[in-house]
Amino acid sequence: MARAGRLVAWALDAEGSTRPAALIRIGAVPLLWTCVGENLSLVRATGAAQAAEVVLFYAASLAALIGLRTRVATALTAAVLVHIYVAAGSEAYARFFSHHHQALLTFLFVLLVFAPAGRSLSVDRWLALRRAAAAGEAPPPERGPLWALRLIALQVSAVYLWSVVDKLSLDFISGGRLERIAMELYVGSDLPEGAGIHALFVAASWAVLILEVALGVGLWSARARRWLVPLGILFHAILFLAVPVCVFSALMVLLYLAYAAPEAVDRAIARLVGAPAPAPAPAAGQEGA
Amino acid sequence: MTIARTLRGAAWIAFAAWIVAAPAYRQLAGGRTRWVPTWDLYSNIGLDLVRAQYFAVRRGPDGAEERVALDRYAALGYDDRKAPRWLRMIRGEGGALKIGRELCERLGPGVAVQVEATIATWDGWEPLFADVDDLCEPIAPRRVTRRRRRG
Repeated sequence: MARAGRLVAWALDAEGSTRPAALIRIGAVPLLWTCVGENLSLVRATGAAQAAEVVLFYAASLAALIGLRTRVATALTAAVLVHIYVAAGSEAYARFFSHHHQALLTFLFVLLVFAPAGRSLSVDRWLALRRAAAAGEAPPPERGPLWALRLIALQVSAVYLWSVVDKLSLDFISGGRLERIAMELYVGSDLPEGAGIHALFVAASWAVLILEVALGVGLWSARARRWLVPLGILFHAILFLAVPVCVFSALMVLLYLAYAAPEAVDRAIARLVGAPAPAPAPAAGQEGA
Repeated sequence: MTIARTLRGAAWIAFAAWIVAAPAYRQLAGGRTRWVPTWDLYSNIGLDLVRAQYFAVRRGPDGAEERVALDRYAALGYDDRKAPRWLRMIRGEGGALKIGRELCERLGPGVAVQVEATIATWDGWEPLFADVDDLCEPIAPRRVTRRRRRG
């Protein structure tokens, strides 16, 4: 019972630094533009309504990037993305066919609406500091609820673990799937023969499978994150170089921030900019390791 | 428990349920809808690709058969780097047969063309041709798994 209570408190009540959510917001918008920019443009709009949607999308996502009226901006961006996701079967939206990274970005922006992503590194923050200074008050704390960040991390784990489910087939564990991917993208029907080459593909398949299980489960553990994050970055870098995954690799690595202890992110930022380490957060309801 | 916390809890459970369970509808139950995401990146890339080795079979004056492995690029007069896509990327039974027909035409009468080929399927590599006497003669279509088995 006590464990269940702790779990609920961890999922729903925990608070922490708002900088990880802000960094995700800032990183996700350029990835979003890269992902949908080619199709979501005025020159390709099929009518006045879609042109208006294009204008709304870029205005809202730009506001989300700089953190101006962040929650409203994020909500409007998410609304356009959800509309595209839902309407992608219609003729007017047929070109927005659903890539995985596009679906992932849509879900991310929906979840970001509920994250305090505008309380740090944003115009909203700058305005709040000005208001506090004018009123002679202390700067507002960069703290907020973490429940949406938990869900973003859960989404990343779900991507890994459902991907593992997909790979639990003879096709994959026998090395066949990686062989045909290599053939399709690189060598055509002339995959080099030989037991060594085949063994390499089998080993790579099992390594991917094991790594994806480890990432999906282990990223929740602070201890395991120390070695899983570099491995995950290496994995996604190889994917990015070897397979045309567009923004998927960068997005997954960006979303590792959702697993990080927010205070650890604060300390890392402080080290990067040479600022003194932030004061420890209050004990009640704070994020743990 | 405040109303806000109750609403937050309900939203959390709804989102978490969608994130964790929704892909099961397509990935395990075999459901077909655009609304539910699948996380099966690149799983269908390269399906239907064929790995093939062609052979020329000539019958000597003494009646003995001589079976020689063919370099399909050289036999059809192409540099392998500049060969057309259908020759570099053999796609499906039709692609393998097309090359067979081209080889038959190039090698002329009196030469049989055989092929040993496997095809990429959802179940891994499956034999496509192993027992064909002569691609220069009409042959019956193969039966290879095309559909993915889910659930």
